[in-house]
Amino acid sequence: MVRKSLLKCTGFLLTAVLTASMLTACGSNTDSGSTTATDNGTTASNDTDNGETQEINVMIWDRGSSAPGTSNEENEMTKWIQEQVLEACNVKVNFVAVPRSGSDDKLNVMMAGGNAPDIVFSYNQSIFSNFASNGGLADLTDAYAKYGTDIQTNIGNIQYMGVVDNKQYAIMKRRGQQVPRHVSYIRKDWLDALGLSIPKTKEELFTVLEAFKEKNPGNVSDVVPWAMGGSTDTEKFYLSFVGSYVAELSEEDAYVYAENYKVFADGAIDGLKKLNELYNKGLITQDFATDTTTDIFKQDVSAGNAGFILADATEIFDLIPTLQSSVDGAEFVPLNCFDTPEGEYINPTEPLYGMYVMVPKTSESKADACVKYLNWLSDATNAENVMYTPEHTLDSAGVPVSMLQDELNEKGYPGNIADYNIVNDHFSFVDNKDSVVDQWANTYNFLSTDWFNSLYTVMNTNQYLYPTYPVVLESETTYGAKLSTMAIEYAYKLISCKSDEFDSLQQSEYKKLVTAGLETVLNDRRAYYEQNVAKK
Amino acid sequence: MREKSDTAIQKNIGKKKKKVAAKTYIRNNYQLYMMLVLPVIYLILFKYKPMIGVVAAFKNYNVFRGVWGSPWTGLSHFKEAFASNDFWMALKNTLILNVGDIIISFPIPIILALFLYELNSKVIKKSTQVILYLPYFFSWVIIAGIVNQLCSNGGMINNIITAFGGKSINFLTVPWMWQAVYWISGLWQGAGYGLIIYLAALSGADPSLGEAAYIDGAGRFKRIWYVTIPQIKGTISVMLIMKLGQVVSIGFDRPYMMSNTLVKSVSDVISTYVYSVGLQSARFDFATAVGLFQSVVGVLLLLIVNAMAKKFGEEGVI
Amino acid sequence: MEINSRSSRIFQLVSGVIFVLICALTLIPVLRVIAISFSSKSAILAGQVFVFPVGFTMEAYHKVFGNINFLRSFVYTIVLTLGFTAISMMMTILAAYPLSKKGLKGGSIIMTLFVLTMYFDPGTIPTYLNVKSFGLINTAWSLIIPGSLSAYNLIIMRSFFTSIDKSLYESAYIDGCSEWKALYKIAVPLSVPAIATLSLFYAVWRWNNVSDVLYYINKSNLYTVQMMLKQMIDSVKISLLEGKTSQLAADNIKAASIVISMTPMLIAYPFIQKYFTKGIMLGAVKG
Repeated sequence: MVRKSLLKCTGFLLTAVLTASMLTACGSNTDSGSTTATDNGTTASNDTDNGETQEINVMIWDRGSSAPGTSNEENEMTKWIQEQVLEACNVKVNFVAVPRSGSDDKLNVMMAGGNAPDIVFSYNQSIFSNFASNGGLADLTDAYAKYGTDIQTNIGNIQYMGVVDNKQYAIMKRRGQQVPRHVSYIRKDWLDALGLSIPKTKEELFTVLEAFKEKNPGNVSDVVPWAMGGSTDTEKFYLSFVGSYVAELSEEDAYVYAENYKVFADGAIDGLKKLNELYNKGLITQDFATDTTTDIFKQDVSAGNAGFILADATEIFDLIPTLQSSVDGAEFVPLNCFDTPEGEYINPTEPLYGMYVMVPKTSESKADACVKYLNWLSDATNAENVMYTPEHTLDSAGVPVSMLQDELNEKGYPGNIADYNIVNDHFSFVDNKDSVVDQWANTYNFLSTDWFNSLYTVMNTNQYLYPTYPVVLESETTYGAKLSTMAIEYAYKLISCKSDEFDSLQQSEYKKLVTAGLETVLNDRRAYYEQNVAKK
Repeated sequence: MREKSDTAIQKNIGKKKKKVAAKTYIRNNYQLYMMLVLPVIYLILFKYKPMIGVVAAFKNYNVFRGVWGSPWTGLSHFKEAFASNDFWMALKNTLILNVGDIIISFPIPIILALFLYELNSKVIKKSTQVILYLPYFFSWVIIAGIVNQLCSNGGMINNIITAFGGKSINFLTVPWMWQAVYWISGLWQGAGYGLIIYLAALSGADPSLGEAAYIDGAGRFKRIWYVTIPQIKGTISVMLIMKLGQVVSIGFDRPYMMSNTLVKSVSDVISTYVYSVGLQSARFDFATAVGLFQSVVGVLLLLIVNAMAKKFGEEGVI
Repeated sequence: MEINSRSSRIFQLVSGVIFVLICALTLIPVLRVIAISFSSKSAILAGQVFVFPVGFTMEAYHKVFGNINFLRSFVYTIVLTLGFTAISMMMTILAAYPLSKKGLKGGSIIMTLFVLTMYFDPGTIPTYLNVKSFGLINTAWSLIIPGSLSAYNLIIMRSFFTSIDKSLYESAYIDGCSEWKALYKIAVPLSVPAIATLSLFYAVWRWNNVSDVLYYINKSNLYTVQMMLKQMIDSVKISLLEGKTSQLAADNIKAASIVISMTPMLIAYPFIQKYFTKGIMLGAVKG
């Protein structure tokens, strides 16, 4: 019975698949041939020089923060941009909302479907390189040369990252203020209670951690001298520390062991071993590896159990008000104490470039109009008006005052106006210490200007940029994503294993990484450097 | 027994009908086919037409060229998966986690439904259904968060253990304990869903049979065993066949959210493997290939289990 | 009806107590989430909330319901869910009834084809291209038609139809009853508990599913409630990537979103529950 029906079934299936394949075969022609014009109902002409207005659709992130009765596609901000750009560039700008969470997934699907907006963007380098090398993007080289003069003057230095095969496939967005990836903080009130000063070296830090453990200066039920979490998508809990055991790298090695690969550079194992020692002394959160959501980490910090932490640069702003309300006089202060073998500090920062702003192949005919719009946005005055609304005010130091969401919504702007500013975040004031401190102190009034002054100093001590090149190697595409998770797991396992198992575990875990492609990637990076950078 | 005699009667009637009123029969069947028109159109256009995408498993898929425009690569994606130790480990873990789920989460809703059905108190009856169904609305991110809070060193469970003088246990770092936590959280989340299906099946059952057994003086458990269970046997068998057929497939969120670095040896499953090797780097072709493997194994299992069920005189799904 | 013996009373008591315990155990985490949705942010961060709200506040709900966009989306989602459920149930019944007939030629092939769809997933992009090829992108139909027949629910529905006593049909056929009438007069009324259950499953799926909204909808006025909520809880990771000061995903809004996702079910359930009472349906039909 079953077999018979299965046979019949196969027959039916075949017919169904055949019919369907004919259907798609017909459909696919139109899919790849048609441009977005039909989908979005626009009627733009291809000719730019006869004064006809061109119409473009620009992706905008939606974070569900629109003012009542408005949307991210239509609000006071979009109206203003439309008017300005129409006047300045004779381009009419429409917006297409894409939910911020899931944006990359949606972008992949829209690009495959041939109905992506005319300007799209992503922070993900593999997405960009995948689109560019598979012929999914419009070549912006000519348009950039012709209409991108402001981009060239304002942020030309980072545009090399958008080049693939000598063609400009993306306009790079410039990030704003340059901050280190991770910053360490310590409980000043605990130090004061013990009569200790802020540690300046790792050795001093170890002494302090031991003292925190033994004397429990905060008198808390469960003291955690060094609090860590266990999320497998960030190296923040250990990388700065481990990295400080690595001697200064040459440019070549710095590229090979950039960012998350640094945990494999010479010397890094000593750092991991030290963390393992601290862990086994009970100085580090004992079950940090299971705290994948970092909820317990945040609890330890904000309930006042943690003495020392490593965190994303400004993450702590969110936790401090809670800490202040739960423990009287509790104070976390930023510090640099990871001295390198050279006796210095090193603060790796994010690269200067941020997003990849791209024009899909299907919108090739609008490349000029798109670049005109991006060029308009790269102008500092325009960018400031978009980022802070056209009706923004300046404070005494000349720094634009940012409005909170409620105020923005009241005026008809969405809460995420900053998302409209997709080209240039680099305002002149972000390089000025007083302005930055001023802006912080105004926004986060629970901390003093002095506190922010010292934060700025800590953050700007020996900032370090890894060398970057506009390439995603094939082996990185294949192994990269898995390797970066495995590298974090490697570190967590080594930190939390028994001391006598450290060496054997290190060897077996490293072997796993090699099987997963680690050495292939490192070798390919070295080969790329030698062939493409060193020779020039 | 009852069913068999039923089909016998039906066959007899069918034969009679064929002789006596063949025309009516055809007309009736015609109506049945009419009913199927919309569902079958749906099936072809929305389920089988996009199925062409499966071809991507044998292609070096370039999203801009489409499935047909991309070059063939034969079985290379399959070879890549089958050559990797990670794949086989993920497959093994998937099987273990799923089989454990079936052993724990399959029978319990049935037992709950049977007892709840016997219960007289309307208040308990009604509120139990609602309450047990509530966890179904929790996403795994949230559940993972709750589990971490409950099971961590300073969590509620360990506080209870230490209050009684025990030593605190880190449940989430020991593989077998992690598995237990995984299964229990699955039961917690899904029990209400199963309960409702069986309760609905019981509501469709004929209570007069149970009453008859009452009068015959059968005890409660005997009555449940000999009268109530046979009435929902069909539903139970269908649900079990579907569960067994999906023993090689596993959702992504649950193992991904609940897992942590120290239990990767038991928590890496096929869906997380596909995610880390394929989807994170937008290798849709590879993901499709592994998906296809899962589908084929799943269908084979389904056919075997279905055939077995029919052999035992149970209703199958096909 | 029930015979009250001593053993029966003991059984009632014991199983009653057990059920209350099970409910309590199940409820603790649920209460916790509800409590969090009403607690102040700092209490949540410091881990002070257990099953009762700490620093009671309606902030999360104010934030969610204070926005007229959300209210509009709420109404839209209710209409969408009702429409989807009605269409899906119709499709499911139309497919399940003929397929429950053992003698139907071709029935087992069609059933097999439905079952296979549970196993073969064409992938996100082919599915998207298919929906696009019908011009459904950016319409509410893209959220109704593609998911309107679940093979899983079809199997359950069919199994219910199969369990209906055949003699009921036979007598109806002898009276000259057509299949449409048999479906309408016998099969559907006898399967009300199943229909109620499956409607609930369909409705819950539509109410809570966001992945299709993410892919098929580009206009924010067609977002469902869950999509709006997903936007609001937007994770911390994202703001970090953008190099901005992280805005901690507000845990109370997250919790409130779960409460909101449960509410329609809590409202609808009592109506559905009516049909779960012992024997009520059979009695009604027979009488």
